[in-house]
Amino acid sequence: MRSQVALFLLHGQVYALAVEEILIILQTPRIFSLPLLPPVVVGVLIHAGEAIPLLKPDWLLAEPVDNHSKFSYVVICSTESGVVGLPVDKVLYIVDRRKGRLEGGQDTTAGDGSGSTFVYDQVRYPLLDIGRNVAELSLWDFQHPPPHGN
Amino acid sequence: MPRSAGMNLVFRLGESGFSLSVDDLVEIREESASQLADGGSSPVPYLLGMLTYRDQEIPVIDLKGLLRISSETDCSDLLTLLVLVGESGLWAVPVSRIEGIFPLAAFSACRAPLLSMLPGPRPYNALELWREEPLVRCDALWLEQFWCRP
Repeated sequence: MRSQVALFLLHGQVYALAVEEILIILQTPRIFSLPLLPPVVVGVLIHAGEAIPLLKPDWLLAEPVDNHSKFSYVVICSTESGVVGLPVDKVLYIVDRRKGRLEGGQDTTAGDGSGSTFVYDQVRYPLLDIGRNVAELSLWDFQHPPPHGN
Repeated sequence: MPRSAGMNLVFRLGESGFSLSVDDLVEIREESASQLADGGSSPVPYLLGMLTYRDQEIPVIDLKGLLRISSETDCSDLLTLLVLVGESGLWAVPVSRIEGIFPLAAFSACRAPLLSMLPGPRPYNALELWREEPLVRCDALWLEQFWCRP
């Protein structure tokens, strides 16, 4: 298993992702609107004949952002629960885990670093747990949406 | 009614694209919204009104409302209506735009694992690709159960 972490910039905020979860990074794919998707999904993109949900930026980031702002890339991630796309403005670095340190969570070699932060070059990057986030999508029922559902 | 014409209608509700077998379609017509008769105290959800069609009153259903698609761009009194075949009779839905009717060869399968992981039943369960765009696959009989009273 590769032991690398990808560090991203989105709307002035940073986040990290285990490289082994990344399938491909696409530049400005076309995003399509579909009805009755979970409120954390901004739309879908088509990759290899599959409709892949794109997650809203403010579901990924620590601080609220405008979900309709433009972004430059979509990171397609594969998890046990499914494939999703994450918006990205810039790929900052791909670094060896051993060149940074992990705070606030267990070791993330299996991609299970919920709530943890990867610290690299004195910058703290929230490490996303995409598998858990994708699993949460399956809990959304359009007939009983939360107050802020779409 | 002759079946299996081997063609699909492509239409839009807001920004979202939809496909429907012409087997489910009786007619496309334009009507003034003000010409729809009041549905009275009918308990039918999403009922916009009743349309006099071939000497019978048929319900006009707000498919955008059922699918929770924003109606903020609709300001015209003229409705483009699809008259559909239902289990208990004809019914109609207004659509934003008709793209055309195309042979089945213009469509291909689009995998959508996200839809299959969401709780059901839902008004639609499948997508198909048309000109590299994912369309919501509609089925008049399936849709009918989401507004029709028993």
